[in-house]
Amino acid sequence: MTQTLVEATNLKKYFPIKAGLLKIGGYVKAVDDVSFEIRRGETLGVVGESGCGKSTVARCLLRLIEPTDGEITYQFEGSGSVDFLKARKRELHELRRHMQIVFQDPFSSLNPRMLIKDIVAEPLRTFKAASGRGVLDNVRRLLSFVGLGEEHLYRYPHEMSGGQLQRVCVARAIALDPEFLILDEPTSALDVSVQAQILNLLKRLQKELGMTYLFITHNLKVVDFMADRIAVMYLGKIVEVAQRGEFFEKTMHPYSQALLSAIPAADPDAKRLEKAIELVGDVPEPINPPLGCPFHPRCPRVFDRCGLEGRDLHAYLDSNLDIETMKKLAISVRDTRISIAAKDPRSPEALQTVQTLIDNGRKLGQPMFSAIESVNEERRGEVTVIFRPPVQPPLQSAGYDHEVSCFLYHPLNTLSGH
Amino acid sequence: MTSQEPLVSIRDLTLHFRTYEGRVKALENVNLKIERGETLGVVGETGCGKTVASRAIMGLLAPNAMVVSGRIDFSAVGNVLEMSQVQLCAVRGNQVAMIFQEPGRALNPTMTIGDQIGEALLLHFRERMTEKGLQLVGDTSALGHEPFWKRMIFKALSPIHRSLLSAEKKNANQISLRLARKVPLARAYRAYTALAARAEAVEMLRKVRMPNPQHAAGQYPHELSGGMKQRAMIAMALVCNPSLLIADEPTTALDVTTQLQILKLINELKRQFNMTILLITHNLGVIAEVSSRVAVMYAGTVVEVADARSLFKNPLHPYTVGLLNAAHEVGGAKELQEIPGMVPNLVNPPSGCRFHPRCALAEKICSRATPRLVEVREGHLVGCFPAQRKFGKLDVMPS
Repeated sequence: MTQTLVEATNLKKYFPIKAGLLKIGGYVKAVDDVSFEIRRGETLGVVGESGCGKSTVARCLLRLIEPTDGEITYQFEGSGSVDFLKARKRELHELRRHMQIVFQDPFSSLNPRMLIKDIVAEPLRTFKAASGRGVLDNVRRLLSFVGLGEEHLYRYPHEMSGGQLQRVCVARAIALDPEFLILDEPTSALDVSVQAQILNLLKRLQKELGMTYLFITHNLKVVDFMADRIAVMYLGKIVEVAQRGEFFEKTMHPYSQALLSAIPAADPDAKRLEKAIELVGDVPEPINPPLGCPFHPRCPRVFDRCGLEGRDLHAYLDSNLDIETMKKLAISVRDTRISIAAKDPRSPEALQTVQTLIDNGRKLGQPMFSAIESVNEERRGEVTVIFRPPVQPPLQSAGYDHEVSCFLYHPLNTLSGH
Repeated sequence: MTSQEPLVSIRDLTLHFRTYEGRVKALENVNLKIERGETLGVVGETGCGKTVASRAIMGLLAPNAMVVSGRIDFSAVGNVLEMSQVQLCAVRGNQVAMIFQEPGRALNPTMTIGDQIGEALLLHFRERMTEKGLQLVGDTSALGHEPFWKRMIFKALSPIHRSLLSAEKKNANQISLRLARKVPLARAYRAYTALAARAEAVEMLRKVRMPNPQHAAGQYPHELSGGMKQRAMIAMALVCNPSLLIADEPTTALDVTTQLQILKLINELKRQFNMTILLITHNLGVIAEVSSRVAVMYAGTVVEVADARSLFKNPLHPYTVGLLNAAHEVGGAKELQEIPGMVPNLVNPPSGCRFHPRCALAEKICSRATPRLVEVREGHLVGCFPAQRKFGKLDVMPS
């Protein structure tokens, strides 16, 4: 019975970094090979921290920005399956009638020079869905739908509160009776009591109008309230997708677990803070993301298959050796290769410290060192460590309607073909 | 209850802002005590006056602010509201320090982190810095990062610098010193005090667990991530060892996992430095995790004060109840309870209890008289007539 409404396959969006007039110095991999589907009538919640690419996914789905690569297929009622990225301008205009978006900040997403009635009427006029007196009647109906009244028709955005403006945005979005509505952090700019009003409104509208939602937020409490299925994003990738109940009960990915444990509970006895999983460091730059699993440098459950690489060993040495020793070493890293040399070949003590560190680590089987393929001493006073080639964990089924991209849940044999 | 006098007590503070729309009645008869060593959480929605109240303690009010009545007593220094700017300068940063919501905007983009932290030390502890600087004179390894020729010049000038520093230790405002500060090579003696301040700044950065503090001290704010900037802000606030730390929405601009790091850090530093913290936030979860006592504010009034446990388990004011019900918890009910209506415009606040137009328990009296905070149970104060009546402690001001 559950039909797919939107399917995105291998969606990518790379933003070039300009290094000169014509030169490109690299890419910010905002969305990196993401595949997912949204089923008709459901709410898919996308959670993640700032910069993880969740808003970029939303914008790509509407083609507000062109994806670099990938495929997006829509299946609207009565129009069969449409390859959205190949649609021409004319076609695109017609298709957009079925999809709408509500942005985070209602103050900046409404034209300050337009009256509320004109803002809500704009989609009706553009798509010629109503004319003459019908337009105003429709606007009245839409406003009453979102809990606003006659008195708001002739107001400007600055005369209204944030909650009311967000209602106007919702009214504008549902004006053409769309099938698919993207909600990009619709309540994060609002206060708790107003947030409750808007969330209840959105839920009611979905029931009455049978819309499909893509709900983007960084707030796990909100996503628990709104979503039927939840997708967690980290550094441009989806790391876990599951049904809501399943997600909160059997959270699998270590990142999702850390996110969940970090929510402060409104209960002074819970003292969740003490039990919470604290992640070390910050989210890495998406320009040159970690190899293998993008979460491995911060993962508390990292092991040898996660894609440990030269940078990780460098960071490990940084935190485990004192500054004086580090000053005596010249370290160069290229992906899985790291060369460590003593700056002064006459005093190789620093290098010996590193070598014993590596030897001990390998003997003890620490994850950082069991991922090493070989340690070579090519020249005197230089050690080259080569890690095994990294493999990205695929997003694979790990339970009923539960997909996760983490090697902890994938037995070795699924890896054979990478 | 502690018999000691509170660190800060705000008494009957009424504060208005003059605007073109009229007088914004931002605070109305606010009474609040901050006890020594506690973490007082102030929670409320946008525009409820929580930030204004905290800024009043720092004496950081906008020029159009008008204190109608009331006083803010800061234990050691007296009424903050009657102090001159010069007197306030000695209090700010030294006795009270503040962490702001957006670390990106609160830091100076043209100064390195180390210099910004050191600035507070040079302002409040110049003597100690001079003393430390004096020990560094002639020690070329302290200037290790400078080029060789510069180190040689400093070495050659060290007798002059030493005498200038000892003079500064005695009296920093002597005419001879003021003149010396105009002479190019001689005025470089101040580099030693700056070096001493930098060293303490690095030490402070280490205490807030900044990764690689030595390196971070030389970086500019734009080179750091949000969480690291907030750590730098905290270091800056704590470097003078203030008795009160005001944290105004310290984690609102941060992601959940970074928020966790910062909250843990604040808790840890509180224990280590034995600080008093005033934590302002709209996030009930953050309040519950960190604070020992909570004050709830609504439209410029304090409506309820209680220890964290009884406030969350047994809220008395209908607004507090509404706020707690409006926030969804994971695995909670499938319908959120709304508080009807919206926050009133404070140019024309409702008469009587400011919450009565949105309140389900409102009675006739609520629109006529203004409720005062009454202690209905030990340590639990509430400003609501129906709630007070329930405990037989109804207190109606004669009007």
